[in-house]
Amino acid sequence: MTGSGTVSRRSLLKGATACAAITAAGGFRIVELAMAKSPEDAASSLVRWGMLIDTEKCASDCDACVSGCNSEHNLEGMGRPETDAQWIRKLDITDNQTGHVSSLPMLCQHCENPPCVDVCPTGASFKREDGIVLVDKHTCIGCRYCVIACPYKARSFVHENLHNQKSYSPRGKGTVESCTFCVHRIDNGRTPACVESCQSDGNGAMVFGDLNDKASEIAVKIKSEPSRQVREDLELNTGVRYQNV
Amino acid sequence: MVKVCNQVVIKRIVRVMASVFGLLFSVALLADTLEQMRADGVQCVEPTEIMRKQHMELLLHQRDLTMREGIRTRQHSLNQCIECHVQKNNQGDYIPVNAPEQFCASCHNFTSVAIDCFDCHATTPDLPQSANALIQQALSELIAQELTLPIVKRSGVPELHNIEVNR
Repeated sequence: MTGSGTVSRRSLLKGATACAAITAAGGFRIVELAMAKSPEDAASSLVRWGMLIDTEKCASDCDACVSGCNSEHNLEGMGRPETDAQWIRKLDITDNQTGHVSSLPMLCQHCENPPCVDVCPTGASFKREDGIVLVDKHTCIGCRYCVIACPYKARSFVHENLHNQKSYSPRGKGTVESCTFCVHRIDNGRTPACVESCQSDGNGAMVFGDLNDKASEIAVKIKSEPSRQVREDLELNTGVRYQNV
Repeated sequence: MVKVCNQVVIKRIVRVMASVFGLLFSVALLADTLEQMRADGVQCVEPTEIMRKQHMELLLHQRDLTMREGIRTRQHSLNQCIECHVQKNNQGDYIPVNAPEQFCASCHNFTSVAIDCFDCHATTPDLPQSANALIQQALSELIAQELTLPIVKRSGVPELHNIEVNR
């Protein structure tokens, strides 16, 4: 590792090879790493990311998913709840007939037919090949049509100058934003921050995975157990589904 | 005195230790190499003439690939630019790349070309924290995985019964 650049490159390769060999020897996360898409691969339409939330397990006084999301994306509140960005929020819904209360997190439902994409005048709202609905903030003009169009109130507008953004989660004044399903994590073979927080600090009410992969935990579960979409009458075919509502 | 003579358990512990050391060693080696490449002034991702004239086009192209298609190669990514070109102050803290006299600002101020990249994008890398978090997560998963796997011989008889008693 002295002097010239070629030696550095060589030792970099050596390091990478050593890492790969030792990791393989340990039998460590091989399957998971093999499943993760490599950086040069584009998102594939063979995959449809989805989430299943069991409202029976979701406790009304728990907001692990919300705080997990806020710290992952640095969604600092300005102390003005009406205009603060909110990518995931907790709702308590009451059955008027019986008085039964269920608690659930509400986030972007990553619809197959997203109304936000339909109404966007610049093409900033778009759906990725693997079903994740995103805002391209480079082309967003902040008109907020999508905020109005979304039946789940999942989108927020950034009203004020921001600082301390994360390198993987750029955010800025004058654009609309919403849950990205933690796309930066998914592309690295990890699960969204809310699901991770729900499992570690919450009640394990959230399952994330590929709806198209018949062997995945989520696909097995939605096949064997009943689940519902919120506002299924709109026929948006949401990627997020709920149980026991 | 009861001595648990279980080769499988010992092998497993050795394997975990080897993986842990391997992981730490390779991370340290990679970090060293990157640091060395910077110190050597190894050339940027493209020759200087191309970078001077076309960095904005490379970034624009890469941003669409990453945003729209999920292609996350690092060669022309803004995060990669920042990771190499960011400077540290005497306390060892990163100085934002758009601060006066820093990498981006020095030319852009001179040529009077305003950039709005950093209205939204981070101006310092958050690599150390995220790398640490990744390593910690990987280690805890590895250890949990190794400890919770049932110890079973090929015949299907649990190996834990294989206990020798020395008097």
